[in-house]
Amino acid sequence: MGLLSLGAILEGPSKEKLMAILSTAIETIMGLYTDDSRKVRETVAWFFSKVAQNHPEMIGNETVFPVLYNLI
Amino acid sequence: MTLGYICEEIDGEVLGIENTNLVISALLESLEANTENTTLMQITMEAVYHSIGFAENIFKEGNGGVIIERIIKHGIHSDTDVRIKTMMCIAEIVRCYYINLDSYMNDITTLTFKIIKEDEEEVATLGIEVWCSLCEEEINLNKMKSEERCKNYIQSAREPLLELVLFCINGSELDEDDESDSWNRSTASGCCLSLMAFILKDDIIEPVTNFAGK
Repeated sequence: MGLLSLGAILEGPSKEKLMAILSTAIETIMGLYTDDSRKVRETVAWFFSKVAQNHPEMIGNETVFPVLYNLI
Repeated sequence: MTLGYICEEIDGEVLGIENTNLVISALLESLEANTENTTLMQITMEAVYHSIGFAENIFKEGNGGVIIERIIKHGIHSDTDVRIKTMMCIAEIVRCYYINLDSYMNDITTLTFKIIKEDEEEVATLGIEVWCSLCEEEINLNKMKSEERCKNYIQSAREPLLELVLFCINGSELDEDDESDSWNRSTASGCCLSLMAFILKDDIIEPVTNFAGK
């Protein structure tokens, strides 16, 4: 999976372009939080920490925040 | 060995230009003469690594090429430790003499790509570090508004480089038992990719999402 690579490029490109990509991918990525593999779940958590660092508004919105909150 | 300690411990100004040049040529000659003697090669390459910072005048006068040539050919030495130190030397040269690399970028690219793809973990990781250093230099030049001094090596190499780092990031991910957060080919590639994002900006998104979507 390329989540590591996507997480690595969250700083650098323009917000608009990243938002366009993230908004389509974020649901799929949240789905991976319940993956059987611990490594995958770890990567998802790491990915959201990167999103929170660079694009906090993405995490704070109405669709993403409740899901993340429930997962903790 | 003495020369190695000299280079490691002292300030370049103490030696003076003439002596510095003598030390460096002695080291380079030792590299030539002792290729077969592994122990001596390891020690010499380490000394070369410490001497690179002092070679400023040699590079300024346009003679840095000799140093690069003599070092780079040991990137295929049979001993792992010699190859490790060769990679450390190249990364150091990139950091110290970025603007003098022009004629050697092709050789550096060919060697580091081969090492990143085929060599042992530690050597390959250092090979990626060479590219991280290149990224850092270009990011700094852009920050300092000295774009004219930036040679855009990352931009020129972006397709094969992206392919390589994306391949390496994927490499060790499948190892479910690996609990360590150690510095390896995969983590170094992740770091390199993050640095590339600062340089390539929006252009990096498409190749990465194409890769991530697979």
